[in-house]
Amino acid sequence: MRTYIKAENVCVDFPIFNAPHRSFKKNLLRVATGGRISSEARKGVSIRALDAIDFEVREGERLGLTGHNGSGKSTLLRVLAGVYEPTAGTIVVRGRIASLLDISIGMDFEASGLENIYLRGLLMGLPKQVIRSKIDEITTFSELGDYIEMPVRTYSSGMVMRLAFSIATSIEADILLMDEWLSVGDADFVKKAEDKLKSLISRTPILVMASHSPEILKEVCTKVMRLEGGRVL
Amino acid sequence: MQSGRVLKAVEDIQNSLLSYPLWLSLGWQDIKQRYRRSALGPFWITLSLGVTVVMMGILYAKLFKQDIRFYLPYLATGMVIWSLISTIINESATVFIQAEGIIKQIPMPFGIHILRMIWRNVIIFFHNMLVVLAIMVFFRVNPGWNIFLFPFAVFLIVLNGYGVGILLGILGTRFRDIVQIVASFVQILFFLTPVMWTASSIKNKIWIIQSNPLFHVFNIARNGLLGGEIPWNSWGVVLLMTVLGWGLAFRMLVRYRARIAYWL
Repeated sequence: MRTYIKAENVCVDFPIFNAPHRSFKKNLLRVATGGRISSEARKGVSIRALDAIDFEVREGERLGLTGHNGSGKSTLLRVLAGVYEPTAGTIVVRGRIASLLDISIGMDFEASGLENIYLRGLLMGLPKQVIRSKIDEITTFSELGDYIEMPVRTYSSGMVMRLAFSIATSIEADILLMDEWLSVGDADFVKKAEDKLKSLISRTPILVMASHSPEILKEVCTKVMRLEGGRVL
Repeated sequence: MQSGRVLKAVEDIQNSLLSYPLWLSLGWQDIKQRYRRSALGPFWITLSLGVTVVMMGILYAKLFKQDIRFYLPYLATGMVIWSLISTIINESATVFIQAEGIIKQIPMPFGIHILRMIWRNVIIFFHNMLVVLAIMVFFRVNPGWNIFLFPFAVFLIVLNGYGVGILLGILGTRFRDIVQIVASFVQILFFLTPVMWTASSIKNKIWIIQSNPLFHVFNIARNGLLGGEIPWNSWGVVLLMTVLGWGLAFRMLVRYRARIAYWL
């Protein structure tokens, strides 16, 4: 079974329940940033974050997403991750997904680094024995030493990110999703992290990454999709 | 289209149950987090309920002119069951809102968040049961064979809790006022349910009391601990409630499962 992503006419509309209805009464407003805000008497205010998106990603391809703030990059990544089911259109994602969108979500700062490795591992869908087999690798890579037994609240913010990064990049998957190129730690660690991330990407059949940096997109991606107001440009 | 949504709802429930390592860990983590760095840890739950029950028991036994040997075990069982049910109902309304961070980043069955909440409350329930056990031993309460029915009663409470979690969880995410409404409603329910008072102390209009489904839940759960004649009709009512509640919850899940993330 080959890994691929195919999106057809994907639309995502967010209902906004506490928006002032009156000010949007009968027109369709076009704003400088973000998706289009529409208002229909019956349905209330909603924001069209993605508007009829079509694309396809095949094995070996690295898709870069770019565009202004609020252009729909992150929403599209979340649709790919399976967080939002499109309000219209279809999306087919074949392959195991590893989402590096927010690598520190679900961390418990009162718990030790070790406990957090288990917690994050379970959240990412790994069985306990697989997590156990990765503990050494993660601990070594993060260079936290004895701190791994200490509560995460005693870590500096850089150390927290190092731990989160080490856990997130220890997962093997078919599709990697990234919101901005991950860069963590001090000068030495940044280099080491970059190497690890690059080797992970080279082993993964598909990468979809959102970024504002043209250099990174050029270096990493095989094709780039520009979004604006929820549409492909 | 419709059959696809039904299938996804079934899969959600199925996969949530299969992901037990995740919700067991998350539920424990919630308890650990609450009591970390305290010397007694989760046994604060036991201690605080113990103190409340004994104080209230002595006071209310006098007020209601009841024999303390009957009343204290009655109150203890009532409070423990009430605390399980009321917390599940209250936390159901915010079950998805609390998990917003995870829901928006990592796709997983929505049932996992509900099971995590229920498991957390079951852990608290077991800590509270120590108080009931101590009081039962102290007053030599013998439930007899009825004790074997008790696990089934707890299981039905938990099963209904999952259904309530789906119903109130979805409603609470869409309409944020639900959280407040549920909280006041549960408060009222406390007085309408025989937690502190005994149904036998009410002479007429008994149907009003019996029309409260929680009356029957308390009947079957208490009966398992305190003994006595098995209230078959209450078992019937609770089973019926489970079936109807789940029917409604499942329809809600089929219809609105995909909307939950959008409403957060």
